[in-house]
Amino acid sequence: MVMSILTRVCTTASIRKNIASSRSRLFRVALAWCGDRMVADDLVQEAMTLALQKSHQLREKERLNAWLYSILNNCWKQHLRRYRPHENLDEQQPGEEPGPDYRVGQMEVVTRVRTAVAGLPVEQRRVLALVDLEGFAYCEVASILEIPIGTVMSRLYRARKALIKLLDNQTGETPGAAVPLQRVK
Amino acid sequence: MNTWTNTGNQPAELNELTLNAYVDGQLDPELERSILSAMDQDPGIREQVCQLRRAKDWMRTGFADVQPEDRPLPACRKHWSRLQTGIAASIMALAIGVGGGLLGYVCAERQAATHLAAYPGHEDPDKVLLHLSDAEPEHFQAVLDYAEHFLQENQGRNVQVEVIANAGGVNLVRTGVSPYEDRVRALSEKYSNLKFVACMNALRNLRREGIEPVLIDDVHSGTTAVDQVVKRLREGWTYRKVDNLSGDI
Repeated sequence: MVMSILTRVCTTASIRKNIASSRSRLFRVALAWCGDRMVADDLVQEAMTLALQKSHQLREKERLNAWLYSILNNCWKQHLRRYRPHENLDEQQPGEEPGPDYRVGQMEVVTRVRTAVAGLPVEQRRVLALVDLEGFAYCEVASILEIPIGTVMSRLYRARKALIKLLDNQTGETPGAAVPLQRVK
Repeated sequence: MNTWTNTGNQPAELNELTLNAYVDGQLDPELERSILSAMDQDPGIREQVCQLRRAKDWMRTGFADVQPEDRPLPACRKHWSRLQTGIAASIMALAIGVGGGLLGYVCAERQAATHLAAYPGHEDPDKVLLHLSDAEPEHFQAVLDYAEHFLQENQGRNVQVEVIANAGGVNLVRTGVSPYEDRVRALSEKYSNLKFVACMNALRNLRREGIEPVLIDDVHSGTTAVDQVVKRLREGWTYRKVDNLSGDI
């Protein structure tokens, strides 16, 4: 029993350390979700506070990463309920009303991407960030966001389709033009 | 499970959902092969895949250099007090059960555990204590891989690794039982800064079962795992439990 107590103390210390080192990655996803650095910072701080308070409840340490994003997701949902209660999260039409900055032809890639992502419906952003920024498998995203895996796939499909439409048009490339396949690793 | 599998009986439908799953590495190998084959034959599919990969690249580029402001780690006194309460309750139950004679020992352990809880950040990365407490061969391998990798990476530096084995974990260091006997021996010979320690209580339990454990040369014993872990943590060693190692090797 003493050994198990000791192991528990050490494991909890190890989880705390891992939570502390997750701030940058959580922030990146939070920024992709909300598009505002200050809001993202607050969401991450809130999520980390909750994670540290509840770290003793985490039974499978290998689920720590997914668990952290579940908490972040709950914080984001609460934020939306509090500040944007009437927004329909999944039916916003992306790209129809881009902001004035969006029209500037020579915007940096980073700015263009972030602006385009900010124009996506909230639910699509949520899936896109977890898959593309954090590399979660579809089944993990389904678990984190508590939605069916088919919904993950359809939201991802629609998000990427919208991004391609928005960003390809900006770069002036001809839709349908043959692009050589490159091996990406 | 990390792979999404097309469950249809008919040949894979190369719709856009499937192509998205392909660029995300979510398909089973058979379906991946069919998409690769289709890409060879159809420039349109090639271009769709390229576009999807580009969309992924845009996302990564767009958020690659994002860094939050430095902020202190949120305080969590509530959690620690809860944990300490749990420790105290467990120790009290144990003490009542086994009698007053053990109470002093348990209190000492409690004090040690509480001490550890109070200084979770005092870890010397050059001194690593690897704790193995089960007889899973994959855990044996994970410990040895981690130790070897760490020592190789830090050759020439003053680092130390100690593997403390208790319960089923002592099988790693038992002659005629360990599936990695030669490797343990070879690593011990190669690295003077690597030490294997078998828990005295685990060896005693084996003897009670009528088994006389024979340890591999150079494996230390004569201390319990609890004592050794407490001692090393007080000395500032970094503690790693075997089930935390897989992502680090």
